[in-house]
Amino acid sequence: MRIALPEAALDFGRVADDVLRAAGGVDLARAAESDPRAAARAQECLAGIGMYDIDPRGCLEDAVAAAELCRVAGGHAVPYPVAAMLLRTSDATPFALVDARQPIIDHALTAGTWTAATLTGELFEAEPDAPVDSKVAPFAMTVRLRPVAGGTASVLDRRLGLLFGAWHLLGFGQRALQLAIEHTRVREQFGHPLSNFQVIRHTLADLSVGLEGLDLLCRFSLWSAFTDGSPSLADALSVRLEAQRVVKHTLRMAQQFHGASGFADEYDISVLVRHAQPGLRLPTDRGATLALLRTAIDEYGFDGPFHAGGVR
Amino acid sequence: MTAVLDFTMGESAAALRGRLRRMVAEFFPDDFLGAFTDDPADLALTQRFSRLLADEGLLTVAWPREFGGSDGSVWEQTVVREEMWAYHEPRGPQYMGLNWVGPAIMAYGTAEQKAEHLPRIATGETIWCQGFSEPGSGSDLASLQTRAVRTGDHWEITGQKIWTSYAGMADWCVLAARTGDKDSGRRGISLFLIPMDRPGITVRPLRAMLGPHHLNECFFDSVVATDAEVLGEVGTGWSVMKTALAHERVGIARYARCERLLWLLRDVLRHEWDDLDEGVRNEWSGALVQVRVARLLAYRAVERQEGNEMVDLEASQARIASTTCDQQVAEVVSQLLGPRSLLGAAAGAPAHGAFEDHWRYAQAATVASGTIEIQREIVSRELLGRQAVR
Amino acid sequence: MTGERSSFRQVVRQVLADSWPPLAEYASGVLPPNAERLRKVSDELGWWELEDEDGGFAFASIAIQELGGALGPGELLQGLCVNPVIAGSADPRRVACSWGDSGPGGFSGEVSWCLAPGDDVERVLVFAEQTGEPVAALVRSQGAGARLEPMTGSDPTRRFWRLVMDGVPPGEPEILARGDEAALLMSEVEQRVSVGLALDSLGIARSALALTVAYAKIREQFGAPIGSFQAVKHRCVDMFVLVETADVLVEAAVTALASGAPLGPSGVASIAMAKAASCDAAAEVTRLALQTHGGIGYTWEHPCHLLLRRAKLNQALGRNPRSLRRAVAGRLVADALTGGQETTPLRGERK
Repeated sequence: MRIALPEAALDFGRVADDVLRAAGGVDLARAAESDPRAAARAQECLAGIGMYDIDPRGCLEDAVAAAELCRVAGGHAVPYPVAAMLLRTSDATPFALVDARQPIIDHALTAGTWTAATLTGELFEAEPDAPVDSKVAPFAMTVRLRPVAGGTASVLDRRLGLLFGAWHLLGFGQRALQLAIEHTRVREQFGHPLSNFQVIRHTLADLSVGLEGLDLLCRFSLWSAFTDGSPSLADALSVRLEAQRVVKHTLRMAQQFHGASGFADEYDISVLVRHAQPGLRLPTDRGATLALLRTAIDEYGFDGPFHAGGVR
Repeated sequence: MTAVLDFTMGESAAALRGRLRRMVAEFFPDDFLGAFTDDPADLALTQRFSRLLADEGLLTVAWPREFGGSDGSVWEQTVVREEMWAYHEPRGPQYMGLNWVGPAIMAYGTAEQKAEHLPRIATGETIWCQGFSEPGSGSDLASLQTRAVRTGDHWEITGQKIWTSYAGMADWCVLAARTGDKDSGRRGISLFLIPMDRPGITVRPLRAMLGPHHLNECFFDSVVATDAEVLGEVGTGWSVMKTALAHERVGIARYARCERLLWLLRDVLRHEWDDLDEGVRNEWSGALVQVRVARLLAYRAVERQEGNEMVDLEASQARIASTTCDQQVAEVVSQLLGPRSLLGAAAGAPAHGAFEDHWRYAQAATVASGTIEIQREIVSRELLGRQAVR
Repeated sequence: MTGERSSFRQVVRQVLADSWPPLAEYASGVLPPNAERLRKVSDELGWWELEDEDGGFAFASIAIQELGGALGPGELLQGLCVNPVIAGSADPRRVACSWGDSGPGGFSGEVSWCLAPGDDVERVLVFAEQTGEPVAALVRSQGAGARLEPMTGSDPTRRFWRLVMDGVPPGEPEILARGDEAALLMSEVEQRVSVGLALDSLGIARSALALTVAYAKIREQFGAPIGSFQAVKHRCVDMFVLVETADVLVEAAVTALASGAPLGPSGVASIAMAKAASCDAAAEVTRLALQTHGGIGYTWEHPCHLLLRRAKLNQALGRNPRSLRRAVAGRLVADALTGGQETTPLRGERK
């Protein structure tokens, strides 16, 4: 059993965090809403620390580094499709999972043509069409899909697409909890810091349980993506499901604890809440994730390695 | 080279799991739901099974060799915890002695105490109970009122304990009493190892929704205790309790029974499964995810413990997850079974009443051995630092 | 009528105080408590004939709710709720009632969770399918090929029965209705049972809330009443909101039934909403009540766990909350598609 992430991956995460923070952190995301150059600055930072040298499909070690980078990027709401570029199909063709009935891709302007796949493995070339024009998805665009003849997205690609998305959301959630802790420590009402009030303390405790659990599930499913030879997406879908549940709730409560300031864009929480929405909703909402998970479990089970040696 | 990540427990743990499952399957009838039933044969069965485990060297997997244990890895211990809880704790009341009274005596007992108690716990001969909670001291355990008064060369203990599991069948009790003055708080508590047949002790069973024999009230009326019966130093009871409970911090492996029951339910409903409400079947899948999350949080606390790190935060997080998961699973089960989930064993309930039994116990999961509110206090204290509670 | 109803509530409470154990002493005796006295008094007071008058259900509903809150005998729920629609068919006080279709097997197999108005049941109202059409029939409970067995479940506050039919002679059941008429009777019984369970659950939830608030004020930990801790205080508020929300929906369903007019789609939907909201609310409120009470709530003598168990069974009996909510949603969608031709708005719905 080895649950802790390897030191190398943690180091890499810290380096990425430092670089992104130095480049402005959430300010980069704020700026990107009006200035496309912000995305380019983010890309430079990521290229500078070796993002393009990672081969996440190659081995678990690289996949862990890639996942850690997604998590850190989520913590700053980096205005760049980190997961999609890590999973790029050629030098510059990013890879995204889509719902073929309503194909939308976040940060779609970053490239001309994308490679897109559905969770069932259909493969497409995707051309960005028009921005969705929403405050909660400022970088998302509808795309036009062209089937790739005879093409299928591999199980690993789909697993990693779901997993990196979940790690990305984990970063959003962890950052939101941190912001909530900081804010409730300093903000005073009724003569006390908010964090003195039991309901707030207990909610923070519950949020931390959710995020720690999600963190572990992220690690577990990444490990199983490389060790479990079945074509099942169940482990990957379970992480997406848990990420949707936990991160949505964490963002909501963190915003609540900020009071009215939680809705003002000068506060990071407001930007995080908005920019997390595409990841929370695309390519599947929670209901769709759950239904897919049930189908996957029906077909392949959900034992994991935890019953080795035992007869059911 | 160590693996980047690895979620397997190793071969010896896997082998142990298989062995335990086979033993339980051979020894217990299908309708076994634990020791606390109206049928005294169930308790007797768990006592016999405990001796069988002891004979095979499996009762004290967690214990060090010098005390008759097999020095099992934390993962072997985890397997034991999981398999025993998954199959309705076939060790019955032995759980208490093995998991914390024994380890507490190892850590704080005198040579005489170790010699007297440990061999008999290791062979499953004695049943222990734990006299902590009082009517006025539940979450606020440090306010306990049971008094131990110095009288000549011994102590006289007077007071009342409540929720004492196994007290009606126990041979011995670890009793927490106040040796300091009334306001001495945590610093004035001492632990005593007292035989339950000592004059002055009265046990009254409490009927409860958890089933018979489980909960009791104990009354102590000038019960005599000697200095030799104090566990640890006088006045150090609180820290002994806290440190010894480290063995128990991760708590019961509730997720193990949850997972077993979810799949058992699937089997019970196999003929109607496809016709059941899709939404509830989805929730069933979601419950499996919560079970896995609770399992992983428990494993993380175990891994930290293995590294001898402080695990207050991790252990409490794991407990919050596993107790709420217990209730969530009970809810999903009752939605899938409908009113059948509330049939008792005698009324032809599915799986001999295992689901109804689980539902009742799950309701107590967020109260027993430290309420979820106290767990949240511990977690938030770690997150925020100590501040006033209100 | 509001004034009359609240004075009737006072009467019901007085009757319960005189002839039924208070919650605090409820579980010290045999469960369920002997209901003979309460049955006699309620009979003398004419509760069983309440519906012979205009809007009578508005009064019966008060009795049902108060009985739920007192963990009253289940037979009164059956008597007050279902009897009126089977009156005249036989002595309704000796008819137990099954809820819903016993299936295509006709008069064979088992019908569970029958509620009876007393121990001296002679017949059971059964809905079945015979030669391809629905029928409503009375089956003699100890007649040829049938027997009535008591059921034991997790809820010890009420007695339920299971009718086991194994070779009832074809001519034996007394057919009350066939075809559309039988289907109508079945849905009427089902709707009344839904409202009855919703009322029972609302009573349970109110009692659980009252017990919890009272306990939070007197139980001290860490040197203060636990009600002064925010986690407990806010929980009580959540419970209160659940109860009040359910109350509004239950009252709307009672109004729909009490009008005596045939139920339109919005009336049917309001009953579904009441059953789903109230039974879910009671299950959650009693769960939170147990959490707030800590260990004491699990002890047999304490009513907390009994309220929880009864609430859980109410939630599971009849149609489950999920399918009820789906039915309500279905109706809203249908309305939207047809441009909302129905004129009566759902409670809380804007026209």
